[in-house]
Amino acid sequence: MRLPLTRRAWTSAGVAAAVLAALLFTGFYFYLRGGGPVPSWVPIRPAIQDPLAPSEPPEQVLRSMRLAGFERAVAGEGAGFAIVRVEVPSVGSPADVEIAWQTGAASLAEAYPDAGRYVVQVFDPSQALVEVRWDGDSARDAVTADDAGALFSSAQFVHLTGEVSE
Amino acid sequence: MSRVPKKALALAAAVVMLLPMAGAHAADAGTYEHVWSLQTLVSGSVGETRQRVLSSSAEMALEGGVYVGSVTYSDLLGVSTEEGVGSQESQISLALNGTPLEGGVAAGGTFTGTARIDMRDASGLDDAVSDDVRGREGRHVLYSVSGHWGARLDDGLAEGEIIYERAAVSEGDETLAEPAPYFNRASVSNPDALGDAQLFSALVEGIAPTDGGSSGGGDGAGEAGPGGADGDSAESRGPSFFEYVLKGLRGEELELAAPVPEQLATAGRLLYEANPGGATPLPAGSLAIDVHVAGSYLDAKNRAAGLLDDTGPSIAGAGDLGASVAAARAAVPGIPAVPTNEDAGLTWATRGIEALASQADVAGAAELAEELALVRPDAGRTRVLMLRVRALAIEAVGASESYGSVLRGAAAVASGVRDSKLAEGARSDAVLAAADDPRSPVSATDVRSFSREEGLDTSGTASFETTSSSLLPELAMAAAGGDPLAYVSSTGLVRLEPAVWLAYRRQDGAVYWLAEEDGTVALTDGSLRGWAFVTRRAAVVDAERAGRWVAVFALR
Repeated sequence: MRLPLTRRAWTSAGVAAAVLAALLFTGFYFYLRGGGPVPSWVPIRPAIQDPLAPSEPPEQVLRSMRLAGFERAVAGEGAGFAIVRVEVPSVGSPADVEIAWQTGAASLAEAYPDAGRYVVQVFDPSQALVEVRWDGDSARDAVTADDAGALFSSAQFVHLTGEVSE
Repeated sequence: MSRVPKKALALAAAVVMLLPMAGAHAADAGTYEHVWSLQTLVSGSVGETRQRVLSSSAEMALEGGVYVGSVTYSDLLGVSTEEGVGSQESQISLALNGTPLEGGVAAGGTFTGTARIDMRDASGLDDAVSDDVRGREGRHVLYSVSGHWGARLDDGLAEGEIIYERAAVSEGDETLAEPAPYFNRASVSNPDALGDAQLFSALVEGIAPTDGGSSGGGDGAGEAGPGGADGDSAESRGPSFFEYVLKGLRGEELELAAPVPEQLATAGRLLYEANPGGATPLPAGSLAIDVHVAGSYLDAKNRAAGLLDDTGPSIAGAGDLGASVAAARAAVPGIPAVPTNEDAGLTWATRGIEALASQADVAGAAELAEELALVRPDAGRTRVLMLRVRALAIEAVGASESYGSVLRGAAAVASGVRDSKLAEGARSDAVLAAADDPRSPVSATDVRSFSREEGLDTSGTASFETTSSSLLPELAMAAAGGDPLAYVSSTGLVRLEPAVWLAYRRQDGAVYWLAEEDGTVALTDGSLRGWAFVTRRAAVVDAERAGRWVAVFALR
């Protein structure tokens, strides 16, 4: 009787196919995570972006910070929050620190309009200075209203310690 | 690793041993060799010198893809001329930072440090280098020094050169720049130049010969990735599929799309990797300028989107952001200067502590106050500046109200970035060039293919008084104080001394100055003109791949 043999063969083939598919998927996942380029039609965020493609939110924030004159910054998104770490080229006045966190807040609000929280970390070239955190709605309202006072009063500040370089 | 015949191994070992002897580097491993210009200049009929090295060490490590190193050195130099005999004692301490170059077979970067020089009288050359002379009264000067270094790497041994470019003495509030050539070897062929480099040799910690993966080791630079033993660089071959998978398994960061000069890469990485107390950790996948994406590429994209031109940002709806910034800075109450009879560091630390007393409800205030309370008198200039900035930041947090708003303008800028599209043509080509993308046309990457602008040509000789010129090469040379523009490349230290800078204009309007007709590099404006801050600088680029920045120089 050949029927049981065929069923076993189909079962074995199915298991083998499932294992092979899992291996391929895992390999492709780590390939992407390692920075491997993919065509733009692949519905997964490309590891290496087409230079002419529209900027993703982190790159939008970085471009906005460069337009303000901040040479170095880091932008990203975590669970429910968006963050930018910005280095002020030269702190000559307390206003420079506030300009940095206002610029960060506005840039994050435009690039991540649905974030629950925003975080801006202000550094100078030698040290970390201050972290400023807002509830998403409060920050967006203040930015829309151009109300720096509201942004200031709704902020949660953290003094940071630690040098960036010797 | 595949098996290699014993005979081939023995031959390879012999070649490796011979290489250091074949080159100009004579420093033993772990040492720094310093030849004073006086030793060359005071000889023959002029006089005689004698040198005694007291201590010498050179260390280097590769940590997280960045080279960090140190050089400490001390010697006695006796100088005998018709006018008498003098003794010079030197104590040099340098901190080196740099990055791998050319797939890891070379490295280079910058250094800072101090050099203390003690001058004493002596009775003779023997006396000048004796232990007795060190106990005598004399005159001493403490210099802050800086410059560039470069090294070739061979099986974990770095053989390098150090060139001093700045030597400054601080007197009160004033810093006087002294000629750096004093610290370099005399250049007999060009005695008016900066001089020749000093040498060092160091075993590099953190390099495992097998870290090169498929390279099978031997290139001495595991962090370089697939820098093959056949001499191909990582930049030209690129990772294979399995190398991407391995990187993904290890969770390694993406490679930068276009290389940036070492000083920018190091600064970018320091900011990205900082882990200050009290801070929210950066999420995985965060994007850092000059670590994951070149800043020059971002600027090119802003220009292609019509958001930036040669004078700065140009964005509808942003209003007069410059005026808003000026108003905010003007709204800050006057900050009293530090009285001359007070210790500046302690004064700023005390001001910070006093301001923190009213910020007890601010997280981190208590810890920061404790840190400031540990400040000691006679802090160095750098430390005093840091304490001043810290005090200003504390004041910003504790202000009774905002100094002024830039929110509307900043939001308009950000929405412009989000919503704008890149114009096709020359400006998009410039974006591809800035990303060093293979699709970038020659018309955007090869300087010699650009249009000649003979009216902007300039000679390679700068005048110290060249302050009225707007030509970039002259501004760069003037900022260098008349010294050649020096930077580190994969072949070592490079000093730009072209007889002429030839101007070319790319289709997007950017101007490049080629260092002579057969030059391999060109100079272009690398300034960052933002609505809040401006950083003026010149960028040295690869003449055939104009998106590749090689070095940057600050302009005044």
